[in-house]
Amino acid sequence: MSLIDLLLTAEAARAHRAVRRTAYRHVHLADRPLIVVAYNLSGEAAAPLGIMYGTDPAAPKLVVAAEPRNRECRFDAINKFAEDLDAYVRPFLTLKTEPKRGGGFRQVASGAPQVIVPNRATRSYLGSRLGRSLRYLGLAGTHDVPEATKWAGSHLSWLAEHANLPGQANFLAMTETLSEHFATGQSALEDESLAALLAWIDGVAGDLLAELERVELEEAFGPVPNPKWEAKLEPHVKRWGDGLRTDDAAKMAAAEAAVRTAVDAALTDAYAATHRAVDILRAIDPAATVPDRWANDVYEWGAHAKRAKTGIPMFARRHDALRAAAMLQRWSAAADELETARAFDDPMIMARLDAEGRCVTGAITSVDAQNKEVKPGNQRATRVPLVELSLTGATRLLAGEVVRWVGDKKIRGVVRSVDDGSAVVAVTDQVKAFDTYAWSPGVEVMFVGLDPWEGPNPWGPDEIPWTHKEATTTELAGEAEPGDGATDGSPDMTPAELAEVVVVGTVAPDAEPGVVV
Amino acid sequence: MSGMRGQATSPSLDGIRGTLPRARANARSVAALTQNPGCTRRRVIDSAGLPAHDLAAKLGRPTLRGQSPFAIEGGNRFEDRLKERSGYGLLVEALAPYVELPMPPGLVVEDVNQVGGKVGSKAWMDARVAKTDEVLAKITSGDSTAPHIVDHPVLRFDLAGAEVNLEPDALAFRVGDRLELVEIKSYPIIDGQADPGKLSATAGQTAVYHMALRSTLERLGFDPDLLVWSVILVAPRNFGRQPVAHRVPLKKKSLSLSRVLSAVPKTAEVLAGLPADLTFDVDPGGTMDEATLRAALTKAVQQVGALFVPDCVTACDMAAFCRAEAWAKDDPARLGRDARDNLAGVHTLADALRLAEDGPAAGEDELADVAEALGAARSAIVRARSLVPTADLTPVPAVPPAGGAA
Amino acid sequence: MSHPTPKVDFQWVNTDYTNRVVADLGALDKGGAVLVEAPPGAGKSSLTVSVSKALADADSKLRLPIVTQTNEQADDLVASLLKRHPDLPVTRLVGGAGGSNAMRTLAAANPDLVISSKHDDPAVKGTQVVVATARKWEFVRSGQQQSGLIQGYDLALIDEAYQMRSDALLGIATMFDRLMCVGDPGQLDPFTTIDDALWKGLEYAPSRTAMGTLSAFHPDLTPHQLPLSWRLPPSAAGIVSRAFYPYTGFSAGTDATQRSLALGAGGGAPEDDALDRAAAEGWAYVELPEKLSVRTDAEVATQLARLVRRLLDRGADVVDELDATGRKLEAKDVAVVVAHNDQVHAVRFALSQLSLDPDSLVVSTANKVQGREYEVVLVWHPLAGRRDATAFHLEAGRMCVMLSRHRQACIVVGRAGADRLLAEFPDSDPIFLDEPEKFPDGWEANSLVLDHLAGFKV
Repeated sequence: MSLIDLLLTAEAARAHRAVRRTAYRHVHLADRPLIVVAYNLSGEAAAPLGIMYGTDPAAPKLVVAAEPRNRECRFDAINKFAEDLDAYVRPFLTLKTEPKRGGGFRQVASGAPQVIVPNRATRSYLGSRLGRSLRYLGLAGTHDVPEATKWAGSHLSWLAEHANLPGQANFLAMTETLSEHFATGQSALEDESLAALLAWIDGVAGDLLAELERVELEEAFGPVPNPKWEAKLEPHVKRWGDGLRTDDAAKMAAAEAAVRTAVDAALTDAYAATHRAVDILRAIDPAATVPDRWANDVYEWGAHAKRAKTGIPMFARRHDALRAAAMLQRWSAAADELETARAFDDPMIMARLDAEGRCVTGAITSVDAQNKEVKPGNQRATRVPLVELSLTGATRLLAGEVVRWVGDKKIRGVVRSVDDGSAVVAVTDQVKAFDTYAWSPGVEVMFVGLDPWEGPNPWGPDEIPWTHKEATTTELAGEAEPGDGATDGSPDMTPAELAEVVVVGTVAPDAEPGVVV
Repeated sequence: MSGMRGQATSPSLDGIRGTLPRARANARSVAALTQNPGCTRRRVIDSAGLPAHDLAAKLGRPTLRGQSPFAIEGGNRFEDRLKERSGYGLLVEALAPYVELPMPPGLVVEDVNQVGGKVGSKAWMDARVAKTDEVLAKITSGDSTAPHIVDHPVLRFDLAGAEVNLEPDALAFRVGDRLELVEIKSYPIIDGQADPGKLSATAGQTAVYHMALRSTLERLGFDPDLLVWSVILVAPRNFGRQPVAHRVPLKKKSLSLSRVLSAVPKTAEVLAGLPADLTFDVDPGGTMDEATLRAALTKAVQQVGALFVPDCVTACDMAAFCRAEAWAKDDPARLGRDARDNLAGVHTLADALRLAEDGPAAGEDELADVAEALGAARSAIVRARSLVPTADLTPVPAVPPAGGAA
Repeated sequence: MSHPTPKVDFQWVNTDYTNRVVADLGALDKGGAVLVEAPPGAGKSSLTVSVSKALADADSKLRLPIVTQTNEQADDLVASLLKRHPDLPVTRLVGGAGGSNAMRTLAAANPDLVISSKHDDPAVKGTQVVVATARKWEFVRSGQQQSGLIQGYDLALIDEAYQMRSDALLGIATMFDRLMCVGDPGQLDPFTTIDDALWKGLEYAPSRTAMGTLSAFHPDLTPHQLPLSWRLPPSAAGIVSRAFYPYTGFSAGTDATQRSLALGAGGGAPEDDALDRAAAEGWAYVELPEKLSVRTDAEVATQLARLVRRLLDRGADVVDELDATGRKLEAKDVAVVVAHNDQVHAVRFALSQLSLDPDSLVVSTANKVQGREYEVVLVWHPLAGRRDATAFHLEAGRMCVMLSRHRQACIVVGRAGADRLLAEFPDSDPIFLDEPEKFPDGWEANSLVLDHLAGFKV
């Protein structure tokens, strides 16, 4: 935790109210994002109890599976959600043709979906769990499902992977985004509770700690429900199974209604809170480079949309060596670009870098604009202006490090020397731009040690070299195979099996499944 | 280490516990010792065998952790499927990539639960310990009639003088000249990946079993190195109930466990700093009302210092109590260890703000460095805020919560 | 301390290993590799130079690519090649920014040295050894791929292979049928700035080390172990070997009688005890009183600066196996090694306060002195003044680099309380399926080091 963040946290702790970490909003918000909140039945990898979703804060849809371990019941709920998700996403699959730079035309997406969930855990649940569980269905003899459900599996899988791209806005988790913009007086771990985070941001009437403790014990915004809540739900779920076995429709309907009421109440809070989080963020002015990042999101979505023209896009179970390396490089580069873009967009973020010593900041004492040097690789001397500063803050940049002028990112230089009180920066790039500013003694300037790679990158290799594979290739990676889902299994239980399920009731925190005493 | 003088002026662990029921240590509680070795309160509670869960409830800050009944039930069913329902056949199948065992009926299983006696009684436990010893000896000495799988073994070992019975749902068996430890868990392994937090907890617990098994082998006169330094984890594959096995190395977890356990004798030093009459059994007669009990117990517990860090919430039953205390003390450690470290000797968040705003007060020369750094950070914030007038605006008041489905 | 008695000399070991490696390379099938693991100062670059030379001599048509991890390493290697074998035709293949000043200077003295950014330059093709970074080789491969033809090489040498990331190897390996990889497994691992959880457990995870991937897919590869450190004196080889190379181990190539650091007259200054002890025994541990401090603890910085100042004031004669008559210790023979950049500034400031030119010696972070050596090294103990230790502070690779740069003596400055930090260190490492455990363990290594230093406290 940097000292700036510590001070902001301390301010928030003193005021019992969150404080802003940034001056601007650094993510794109669509006009009508799709908000999704979900509960999964504990003990299962992907068996939703309920999913509430919608673009309208006042009119969410709710699907509920009263016994998610029953296939029909589970897919009744999943298929409805999938159909609506597919309907939300489908317009963005339309491609339009636009002229390419340098001639010719290219097909691009006309827009991209934005799915917003309350917390990181829900994002990972929806994408990597639910999406993953759906995407191979219907292939190679696995349980077949409606087309829309397969599409939903594919879209969720795309969103899950794309969520790794630093700065993306297609699949946002509000705890993450809010914490980037607000400092609360609690730990990052505690900030993963959206209810707690909102209590800090919106403030509470009474004792904040008491409210946070209440929220912690009582609220659960998913995907894991509150265990005590689940204990109360358990008899209803059981009753649904009993009804199924005895063919008692009334019993099933009553059980379904009870589960629906409980899930509705719990998820409505989560749904409203997620919308509230969006509203809070929407009220903050967007930073200058937000549209660029969204344009990139749309561009990358376009690749998925193009694949979708020939059928449901497939995803491998794990990255193969080539894709893993390509993604690491892509995401690392995006992280560097994002850090730089945010810093230049937002004085609060630049201030953090300054306080961390990643800038040279000071008043100009002298400028040698006519200094000439032979740069490496050159034969002739070129102009390299030297700017000497009397430092006003500590820096941890060392001689030789590349810096950019905070006033104009293009103006790049290198720290020539730095001592306790002074530093010299040699301006190596964009000397013409440098000349357009008045570098008068006494003026306070800041150079920041950010230097994202802006040059071309090598192409990735087109085959896996011998160093990265065995004679037989790894089973998990590579192209998606039709049989990929064949061994997935499912949480399905027959009515007879459901009948054997015992009601456990509330459980002590240390209870361990499988300990038979 | 203790000496007579220590006896006279420091409390004993038994005295601190008083008439409170002794909490039985289990693999989870032993493993938790490695999570926060710097917390004196946790050390005293564990060493004295105090029931932290009950303490927290009496203190008015019940534990935040919970278990879902669905998860418990699912876990039991999964284990049942692997064992009883399939005559252990499913388990043998899952283990096949790592160990070759005969399928039933060739498979010999020893279920140590079936020793007779009243289930849960002391005699029953003793019999299970004896049976486990016997079977282990048989396996280890290469007896051809020895079972391939030992189910529900009980391992007894000495934790700083206290006898601990561990009941792994883990099983040990011999393959050639080595013993393997198996642990069954019900969280899924999807495309070869498991939740790192859960996996880490599993590794921590099985490291305790591993250590106990090693010490049992030693006690029985066998080479503990027969036991491989890993556990075979069996868990549901992807989204169904078919098992899949992965070998999880345990060397690092075992190292951290053994270094924490070897530090347990230092408890005496810890006790030496506490009042001689300290006890957490503040109401042995059970006469106090809830509020009086809470106040008295709070006073007693606060005599023993705690180190609350955010992770405590996931591992310790006392977390809610200690967190409220950390709030009251304005202790930066509640934000995380790195926060506390960065504040270098500044003990409260309020002091951090004061030092940033006003610099060190008289007599605070020690804090000059950190005050300077804080001051610089504060000027950076002030400068940035002045550049963007909206930068410190708090959001517009919340509209009433959206209507939702209603 | 006991060391194997029949002392073998550096040349003998180097020739022996060169022969072994060249023989192994000759017997390699396509898709095979020879690995050489080298503890600090074991003669890794000498071996690379000798092997290159032997291969070049054996086949006049040979073109041997050498892959390094940084431009500095590439420059160093070219300098070593030309110093030992001035007639060897060498190219330094550089990126678009051109060759460094060091290379330009070297080229002035060695007119045959080719410095080019174009792999297909006729001049480059006329040389036998081509040295470039992995990144540059990746551009070469990419360019060839775009033109539709990968020109394979029979064999390439990879230097500092343990500091190479798996994706960097992936980017170049299609060009090379066989590899020789040389490196030091005990130093700092390469790192990634983004979360790599997605790829955990995969042998080819791009965030792993290149050697981790290579040995996972080729488990039958058994590395050669260079057995002796020619840098570390006998006083240091034992602890560095035990703490950081517990499985392979190594010893000092020299014996205690071959090295000495004879200090000029001293006495009276508070720093003299530490200097005398370090000169006599190879180690000194200056432990300041326990205090929680910011990372740029001025007292530690000042203590380090005073020790440097006093060392240079007293002066010293350095005697070793290369120069038995001795030579004067100079400022450039001294380095101060720290964990963080801001500590570099703190030490440089403290030095200037004592009227020492901070540029006259090396003050640097562990990351930047990997592969370097000095006569006397002063170390800012990473745990000094900390309230809580993190995995960063306990990283075995960093401590290993810090404690294995010196030829004569090492002085560590820390604060009391480091043992408390170790005792309170929580085990919070997340665990991932199918991910091998990383050894040596940082905690264990640091604990061994602290025990060792306790014996040299002044």
